[in-house]
Amino acid sequence: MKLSSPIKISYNNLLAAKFRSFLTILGIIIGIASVIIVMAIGASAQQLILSQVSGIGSNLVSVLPGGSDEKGPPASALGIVVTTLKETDLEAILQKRNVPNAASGSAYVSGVGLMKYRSNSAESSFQGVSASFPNVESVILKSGRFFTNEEESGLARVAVLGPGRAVQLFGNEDPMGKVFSIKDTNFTVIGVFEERGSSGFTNTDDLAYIPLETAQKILLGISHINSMRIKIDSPANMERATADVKYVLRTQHKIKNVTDEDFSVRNTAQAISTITNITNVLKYFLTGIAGISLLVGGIGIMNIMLISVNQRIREIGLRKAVGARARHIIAQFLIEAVFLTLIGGLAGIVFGIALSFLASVVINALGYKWEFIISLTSIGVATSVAILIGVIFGLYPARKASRISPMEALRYE
Amino acid sequence: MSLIVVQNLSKTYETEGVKTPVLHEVTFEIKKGEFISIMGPSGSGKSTLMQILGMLDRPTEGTYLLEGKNITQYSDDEMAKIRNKKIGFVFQSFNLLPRTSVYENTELPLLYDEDHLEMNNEKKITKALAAVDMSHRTNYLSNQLSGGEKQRVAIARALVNNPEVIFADEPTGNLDSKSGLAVMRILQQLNDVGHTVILVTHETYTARHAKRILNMLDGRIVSDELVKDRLIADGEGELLK
Ligand SMILES: Nc1ncnc2c1ncn2[C@@H]1O[C@H](COP(=O)(O)OP(=O)(O)OP(=O)(O)O)[C@@H](O)[C@H]1O
Ligand SMILES: [Mg+2]
Repeated sequence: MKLSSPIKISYNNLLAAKFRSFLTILGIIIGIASVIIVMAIGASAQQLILSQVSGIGSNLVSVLPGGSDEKGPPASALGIVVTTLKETDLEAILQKRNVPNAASGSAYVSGVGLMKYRSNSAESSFQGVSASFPNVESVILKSGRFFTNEEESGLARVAVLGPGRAVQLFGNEDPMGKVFSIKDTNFTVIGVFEERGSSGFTNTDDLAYIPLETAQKILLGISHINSMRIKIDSPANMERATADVKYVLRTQHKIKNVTDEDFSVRNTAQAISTITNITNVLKYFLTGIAGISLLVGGIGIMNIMLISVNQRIREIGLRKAVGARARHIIAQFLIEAVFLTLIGGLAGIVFGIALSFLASVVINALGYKWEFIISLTSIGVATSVAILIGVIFGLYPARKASRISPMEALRYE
Repeated sequence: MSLIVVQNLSKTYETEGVKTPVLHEVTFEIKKGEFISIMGPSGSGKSTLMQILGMLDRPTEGTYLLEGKNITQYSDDEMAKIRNKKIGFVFQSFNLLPRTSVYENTELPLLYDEDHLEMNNEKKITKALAAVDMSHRTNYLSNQLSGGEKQRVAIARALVNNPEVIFADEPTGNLDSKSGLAVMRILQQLNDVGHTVILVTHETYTARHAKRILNMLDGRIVSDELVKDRLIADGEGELLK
């Protein structure tokens, strides 16, 4: 049997009931469009989050105060103040005999205070970090330099600004060498960073970086640190170094059992896999929801095909009378169903791509680095799903049509 | 050898446990090249008999041999294949595909002829349409035709595969006398070139265009005789012969 003929019949039937056909395939259009959108936005969001995590720097081991199990966040990440982590812990970790694979490390404290330069003033965040901070995180200086070990231990009042902070405080002026105040203490700007983009919940470009001890003693009045990051020499040594860091911290804190740990250690590899897991679950969940709309669309197709079979009983009888076998009738109605879902699918793909593109334009306008990702895979998947829906939901009506007896069909009024 | 041999053939319809006997032990033969009318009042079982002879339905009891072969041994798909190659149907209500051209309607049986796919299809269709004098309407859609024209296309469709037998169930029933005459003329011409024609009708006038008439009553054949004063349908009107 020629294939062109059933396709032409499908096309004619489609045209004969344009509006009804459109309503029927609308379900498929919406379903396929949501699959495309979910896949596109899922991929872009994953990309965005992962780039933020890896944007901090690679091969990092992070230590937060407060115990936790592997999966959950430590208490300190939820805003509870834990004071058990000290700068001396970092010094112990950085000793070659303790963690041989530690290349560098930085401690962190953070705070918020009124920053003032002439008439400009705003409540903003600052971060106290070690002098080795640029060796740990991936930062590039746009101008000036970072502070030295001597400046850090000497409680120097110097600051390196994120580019956003520099613009907010100094506007068009060159901030280098200028003096501004944090909580009424004067700081001299010695460097400005290149733009890095936001990371997690804080935009690092808006921070002011000052020496750790200056922040602890002068601005915050504390002796503990909020967190530390240790740079490991190679990705292959991450697991070993993570274990070493934990061992050192247990020794430092005189803890015998792993379950009693008062700190939490994470490495970037773990973070990336955790985030990938979470975003994958989200992606599958959303795809599942899109799948439900496809199911509804498929039922619509089945319904319209059953109506079509009923309306064309005489045609089926005639085709059988002139020699059509059961498989010819099945093929004809399956092709019709697939024709409908494929048209819906293609329209859905176009619609989905358009909406994803629109979303990326809007999100980019909101200031995120959002990539517009449409993979050929997602188009392939959407097309196959559309065809599959046609076959699955067309099969029952098609088989029903093929079983109609020619004698009864020709007598049918 | 007879083309069709029917022996003690019975048919009983059964719907939801209710049995309706329609044909009772019918026995007759039809030879190749015959033109036979099956006559009888409404409900006498003419269409039922034609559908069994045309392999659209199966007998409940008895034997039916087509070209010496018992059809009860065939599956539904095998019966469809035989219908495709050896049998052409013309119905009272034309049964053309809607919104489909004359050409494509005529082509339909060829689409299911898997042994000769795409072989001289165009030639066969042109020839069939010429035989019913419809060549000038090849590209018309079925709904752009008059009743008589529709029936002529239906006949073209029935003969496009060059079948052994053409079954026509009340082919003139929905037509005015002029169009009906044209249909009868075509059937006679087809019979002249060798097709066996089996015509179902309840009108004596129409039946007399055949060479032989089977009379049915309540599912039985009550008479079987040759037509003495056969009517010949030609262009100018009826001639007694
Ligand atoms: N599918 C069926 N189920 C039950 N009874 C049926 C069925 N088809 C036909 N009959 C019955 O069989 C009998 C014969 O029907 P058939 O159509 O063969 O008559 P007919 O001689 O062709 O009549 P007409 O001249 O009116 O077309 C009728 O009484 C009809 O009610
Ligand atoms: Mg009848």
